[in-house]
Amino acid sequence: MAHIDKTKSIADVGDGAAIPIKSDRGLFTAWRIAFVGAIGTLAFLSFYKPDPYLNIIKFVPDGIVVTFKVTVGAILLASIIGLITGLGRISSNRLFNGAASLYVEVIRGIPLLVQIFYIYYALGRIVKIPDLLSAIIAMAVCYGAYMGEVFRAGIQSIPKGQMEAAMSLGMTRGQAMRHVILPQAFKVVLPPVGNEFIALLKDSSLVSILAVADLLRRGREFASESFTYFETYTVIALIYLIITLFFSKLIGIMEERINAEN
Amino acid sequence: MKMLKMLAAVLTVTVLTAGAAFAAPKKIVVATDATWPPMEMVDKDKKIVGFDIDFLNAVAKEAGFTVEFKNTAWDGIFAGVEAGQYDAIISSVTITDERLKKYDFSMPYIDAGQILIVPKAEKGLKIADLKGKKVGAQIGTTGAMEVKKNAGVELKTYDEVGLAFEDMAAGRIGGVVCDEPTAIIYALKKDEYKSKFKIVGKPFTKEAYGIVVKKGNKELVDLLNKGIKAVKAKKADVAIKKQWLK
Amino acid sequence: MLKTERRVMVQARDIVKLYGRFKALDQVSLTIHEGEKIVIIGPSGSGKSTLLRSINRLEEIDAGTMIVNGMDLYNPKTDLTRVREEVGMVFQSFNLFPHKSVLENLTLAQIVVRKRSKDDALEKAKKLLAKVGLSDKANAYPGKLSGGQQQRVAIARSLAMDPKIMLFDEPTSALDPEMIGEVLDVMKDLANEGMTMAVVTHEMGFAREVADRVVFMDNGAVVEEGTPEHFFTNPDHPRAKQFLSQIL
Repeated sequence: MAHIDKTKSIADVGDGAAIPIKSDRGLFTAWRIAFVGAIGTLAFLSFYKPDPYLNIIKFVPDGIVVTFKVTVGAILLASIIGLITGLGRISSNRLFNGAASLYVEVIRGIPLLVQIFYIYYALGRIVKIPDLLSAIIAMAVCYGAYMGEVFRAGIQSIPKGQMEAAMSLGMTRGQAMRHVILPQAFKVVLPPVGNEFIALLKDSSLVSILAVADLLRRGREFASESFTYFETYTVIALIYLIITLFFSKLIGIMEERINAEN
Repeated sequence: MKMLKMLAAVLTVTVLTAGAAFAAPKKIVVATDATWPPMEMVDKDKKIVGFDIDFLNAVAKEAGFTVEFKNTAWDGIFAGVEAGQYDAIISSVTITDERLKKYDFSMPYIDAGQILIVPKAEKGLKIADLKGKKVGAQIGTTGAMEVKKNAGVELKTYDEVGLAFEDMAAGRIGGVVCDEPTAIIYALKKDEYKSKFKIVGKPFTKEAYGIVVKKGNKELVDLLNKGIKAVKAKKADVAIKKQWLK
Repeated sequence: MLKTERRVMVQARDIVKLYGRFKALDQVSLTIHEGEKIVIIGPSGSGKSTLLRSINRLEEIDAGTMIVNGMDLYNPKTDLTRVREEVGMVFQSFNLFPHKSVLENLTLAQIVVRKRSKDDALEKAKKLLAKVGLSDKANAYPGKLSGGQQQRVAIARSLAMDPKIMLFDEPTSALDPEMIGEVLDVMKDLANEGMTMAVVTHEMGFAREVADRVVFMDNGAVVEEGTPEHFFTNPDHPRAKQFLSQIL
C-alpha cells in the first residue's frame, strides 16, 4: 500500500501544531508537561493572586466563545472552498483549473493579516453583513487556498488505478470522484485538515484587529483599562496553549485510529 | 613638570567640555499614537504632525529641551512608558483617576470632551438612545469607558478610531464615540463621510489632556509644567489651536 | 467460416500510440468477434497492455479507429460511459475499492451506472461471489483478502455489469505463484461459458488451453497471429521463435 507513505508526508505539512502521537515519546511527554503545566499555572495564579488573574479569567470567556465560532465557522467554509479549489487544481478544464490556480497563487502571496483587513473592509463596501460573519469569511478565503492544496494532495495520493477501475465500470468522472476517490481522499486529508484547524485557531487571533471581540481582543481590552499588560497576556497565552494542546491531542488520537484502520 | 601641566590642561579641557555637554538641551523621547487627527497624525510626508506635536515643541522651546517623537500603537502605549521605552506620552491622553494611580501627569494643557457621531439617519441623540446597537470606540480610551456605562449598548473596540468610522460606513455599528476635535475631522471634514455621518449633541464629558510620564519621574513633570506655564503665559498656544482645531 | 457470421465486438484499425517520440503502438489492427477468446503475448514493452487499455479508452490513441460494440470510441457523439459499461476490465493490481466491502465493491456500479435496485444488485453480487468461491468474504474489506481472492472479487465486480467483453491486463502477474491457479480457473470457467475475452498474460499454459487465437506483439506491432497450435509449435516470425525459445 504505497499511498500510506504519501498520507504521512502530507500530514506532516503545515504549521498547525506538533501532534503528540505515542510513537514519538519525547513529544508525548512534552505534551503532558505543557498541558498539565498550563492548567496548573493558571489555577495557581488565580488562587494566589485573584487580582488581577482571576478577574482576567472572568473577563475573557465570551472571547473564547467568539474564537471558537470564528475557528469552526472558518474551517468549515474553508473546507468547502478548499475542496472546490483542490478539484479545480486537478481538473482538465482549463478555465476551472486556471481560476483555482490563480486563487491559490494570489492568496498565498499576501500576508494573512493584510488579507483579513482587505477582505473585511472590502466586504463592508459591497454588502451589509455582520462583523463576525465578515471575519469568518475573511479567514475562510485565506485558508481555503491552503486547504485547496491539502485536498489536491489528498486526491492525488489515491492511486490512479482507482479512477481507472471506476471508469472501466462505466462511471463518469464525477461519479468516480464522489463514490470512489473522495471517500478515500477524506481519510487521507483528515489529519492535515486537523492540523490546519489548529493553525487557524491560532491565526484567528488576527481577527482581533477587526474589533471582533475574540479571546485576544478581550485580553487587550482588559489590559488597556487595567494597565496589567504582563498579567493579561500571560493568561491569554496560557488559555491559547491549553486549547491548542487539547485539540492537537484530539487530532493525534484521530490520526492513530485511522492508521490502525489501514 | 611640563608634562604634569600638560596633563592638567588636558584634564581641565575634558571636564569643561563634559560640563558643556550636560548643559546642552536635554532630549526627551515622546510616544504618540498618530492616528488621531487633528491632535496627532501622520502627514503626506510621513511626518508626525498635529496640535499635540506643535504644542509640545513650543513647550520644549520654553523649557529648554528637544523632543523626539515615536509613533506608537495606542494599545500598549502606557506599557511602553512604564518599561522605559520612551520618557513621556502626548497623545490626547485624558487625565483620569485610574490613570493617575499608575502614572504621573503634567498639568492639563487643553480641555476636550467625548462626543457621539452617528449615521445621518439615526434619530438618537445620546449613547443611551442606541440600545441594542453596537457603538465603537478606540480601545482603552475614555470614549470606550463612556460607552460601557450604558447598559444595553454593546461596545466594540478598535485599534484605531478610523477603523471604527469605516465599520460605521459599512453598517456594522450604529455609532462612534471619540474626542470632539477628532469627531469634527471624521464627521465634518472627510469627503467620504461628510454625507453619511453627523455629530449629535454636545461633548458629554469634561476632560483635560495631560502628558504622561512614568510614576515618580518628578524631574520631568516639573520640566514639562514649567514649559506649559510659559507657553500659556505667552499665549503661544492660541495660534496652534487656530491652526489645528478650527 | 463460422467466424465471419459472428458479430464483431472490437474493430481496431491502424492504431498509433505515441509516448513522446516513442511509438508504443505502430499501426496496429485487431478484430475480436463475439465469443472469441484471444490471448495477447509478447515481451515486456511490446505494447500489449497499451493495446488492451486502448479498447476502453483508458489509453488515448493518436491515430487510427477503434470501434467497440458498434460504437466509435473517438466519435464526439459517443458516450464513453455507455461503451465502458459493456466492457469489463481486470487489472494487474486488482484496483478494488479499499473503503468498500466486497459486496459493496460488486454493487456500487450496478446501482450507480446500471441503475439497478439495491436488492437486485445484492442478489446479483451474491450469485457472482458464489461463482468465484468467495461467498464467505462478502462483508470483508479488500485489505483483509489475499491477492488471489482480491483478483477473483475484481473479476466478479466486472461481471456484475453483465459485460459483453472482458479485458484482462496481466491478471496474475502480481500474484504469488500458489494463487495464480485459482484466478486462472475462474477465467477458464468464464471462457467455457462463452464470454468474449481479450487477455494479456505470460501464462502460456492458459493461452494454449483457452485461446482461439494468439496475438504476438513486438515493438508496438502485431507480428504474428494464429491458432495456439500453430503459434506454439511452428511460428513463422523469427521474433516469435526467439521469444518462445526464451520462455518455454
